[in-house]
Amino acid sequence: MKKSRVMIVDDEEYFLRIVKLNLEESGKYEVLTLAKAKNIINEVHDFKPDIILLDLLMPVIGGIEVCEMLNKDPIGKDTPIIIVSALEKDQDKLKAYKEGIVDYLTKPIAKDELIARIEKALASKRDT
Amino acid sequence: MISILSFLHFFAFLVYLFMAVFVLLKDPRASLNRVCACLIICFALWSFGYIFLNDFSYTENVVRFAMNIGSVGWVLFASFFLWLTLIFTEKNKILKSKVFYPIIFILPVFLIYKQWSSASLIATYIRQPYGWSYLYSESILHNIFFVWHCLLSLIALYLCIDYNMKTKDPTRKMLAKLIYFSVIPVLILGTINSVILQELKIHSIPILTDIYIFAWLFSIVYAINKYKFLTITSSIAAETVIASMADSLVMIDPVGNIIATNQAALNLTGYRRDEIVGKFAGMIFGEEDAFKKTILTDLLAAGSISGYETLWRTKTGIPVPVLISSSVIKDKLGVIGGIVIIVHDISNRKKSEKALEEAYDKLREMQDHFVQVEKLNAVGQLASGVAHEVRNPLAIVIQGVDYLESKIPHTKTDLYEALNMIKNSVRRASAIINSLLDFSKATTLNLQPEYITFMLENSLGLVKINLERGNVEVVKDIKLNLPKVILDKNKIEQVFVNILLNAIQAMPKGGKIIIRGYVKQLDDIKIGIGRRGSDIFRLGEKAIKVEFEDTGTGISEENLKKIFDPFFTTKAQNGGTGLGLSVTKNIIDMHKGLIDVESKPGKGTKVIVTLKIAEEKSI
Repeated sequence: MKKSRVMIVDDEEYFLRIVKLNLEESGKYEVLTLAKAKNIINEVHDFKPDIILLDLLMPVIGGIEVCEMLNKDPIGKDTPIIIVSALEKDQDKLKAYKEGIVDYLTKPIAKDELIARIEKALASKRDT
Repeated sequence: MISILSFLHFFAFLVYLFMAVFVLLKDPRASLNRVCACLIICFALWSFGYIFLNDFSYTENVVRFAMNIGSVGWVLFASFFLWLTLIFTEKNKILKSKVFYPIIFILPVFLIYKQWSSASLIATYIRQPYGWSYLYSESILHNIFFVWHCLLSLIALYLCIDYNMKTKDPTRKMLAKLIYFSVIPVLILGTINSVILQELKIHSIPILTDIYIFAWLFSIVYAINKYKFLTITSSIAAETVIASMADSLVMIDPVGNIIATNQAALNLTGYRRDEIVGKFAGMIFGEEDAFKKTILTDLLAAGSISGYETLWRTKTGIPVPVLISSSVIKDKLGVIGGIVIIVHDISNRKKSEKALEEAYDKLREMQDHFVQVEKLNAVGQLASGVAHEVRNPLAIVIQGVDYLESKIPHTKTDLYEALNMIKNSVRRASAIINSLLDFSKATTLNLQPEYITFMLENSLGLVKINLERGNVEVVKDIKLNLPKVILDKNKIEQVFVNILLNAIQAMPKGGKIIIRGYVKQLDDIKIGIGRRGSDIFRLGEKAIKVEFEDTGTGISEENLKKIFDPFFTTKAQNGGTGLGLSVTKNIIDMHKGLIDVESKPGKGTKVIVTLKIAEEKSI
């Protein structure tokens, strides 16, 4: 069975590593982690993720800016994005949804729920 | 003979003028003196007319003119005499009546006018050896004048005699006697001479009524000299001061019975003088025991007290705050004769103080509110910052635990248990952060008029699963047509959900929640309900009450005092943060409502939310 490619963008190094371990351990995913969003377009072109897990609050380039960049990119605009952030305010969520994200998860989130949300988003992508 | 009579009247005229000025100067401000002076001027005018009447060298026209001027005196004198008598006999009620003065003056003024314009009283003058005499007119008006004159004079005479019998003051008794003893002969002689003889057309005797009045005048002069009548004396001045002072004055004997009061004391208490004099003074003091101690014991020992604050009680039982100063009256031998109490009504000052206190309470309440809002804002800012910083590591911890779980063999139950404890702790930490954020969010409201019934249904919908899982039955007793309430829909839903979840958690083996909704008039004074400006609800105000009564474990008396304190929880093991009811109370406070909790351990808990009914205009 072909593994889904998941790109995780977050400035928390430990978070990247542990989520990567969890997702890979499930056996369903091939994971690429990015601690900085600077070269995200190139990485998306190279890795061609099926889904992107994106943090909102990051230094230099924030999550919303990343969404804007991806929306302008021919590959990026078709890649579903799930925001995984510690921010929980309605206005943060609204801003993100306006950029076309498919889901918004608030940290801390357990492995099972994360996988369930990823699967749901991938299923929606397949349906469309 | 002719010139002597004329001169006699002239002399009387001068004496009356002099006496009028003399009486006025004795006490120009006293109404008794002023009215007495007016009466004497009437006599002077009377004499003025007779100067010309008793001298036939004047023509009839001159005599007519002079007698018309004199008519002002002999027509008006009865009115002034009655007026004077009423003042002397202290008939204050009549004197204060607005109809009294028109009654005694309109008819005489009309008669004077008729005499001047058409000689309706004295019609013609006839020559006599000593001068002139007159004939009364055939008009009914002159009969009316006689009846009027007799009526007023007799009333005045009756009042004097009656006063003489009733007054206990020997000086005034004597004055009353002097007046009526001197007036009776004047009235008899004057009526015979100037009325009866003239009616019988016996004109040979000259008319000397103004001279007979000297008898009355002499009695007045005697009264002035002997009894200081119409004169300011120190005792009269003291009486006047006491009678006219704004403060109440009460004199009591050494055992506490009232001897005398001034008008201000009667006005303040609402008693009549006869209802109060001779009675025990404790009846007008709000606290009879305090009166006995302060006035009868402390004062008699100290000699005087001042600025003592106490209560007076009116006839209808209303307490009046007063400030009293009091001193003991002793005779020359040092024997206590009585006590004088001066009472200053401070109810207006008290009202002002109360208003100030209420304004201060309101200000303090506003200040507290602003401080609370500031605190919440500060907590909010802190919570937002902390939330982000804490959630990231928590996210790593939870993912790490999940990873470890997947790697540990199922046989290692102790490791699983340890990981489970970590997971629960992470969940609790996460819940605390969420509650902190909730707590800080409760600073602003989005107010709309809403039906409370809909809010309750929505809230029940949100906890439906919890109710089913907890095996909890809900009984609704919500009155129909409840009025709207101005509220923030989301916040009040949060309140109801919090209360419902607490109730469900208090019934681990299932149970029943009774929800009642009704309008109630708030008749009992308690925290938040009263008459002060700072009270949230005015006493008697109608409000909406929503009750949630469960059959759960209940709350101990000790814990009941702390349930609204932030971070107070008895459910820490089950993920309780201790912020749910704090947030709930904050939200209700912001709605200017009340939340009360009644509970009996082992029997259940009742949470009562009281909210303001929306005014018509705001709906």
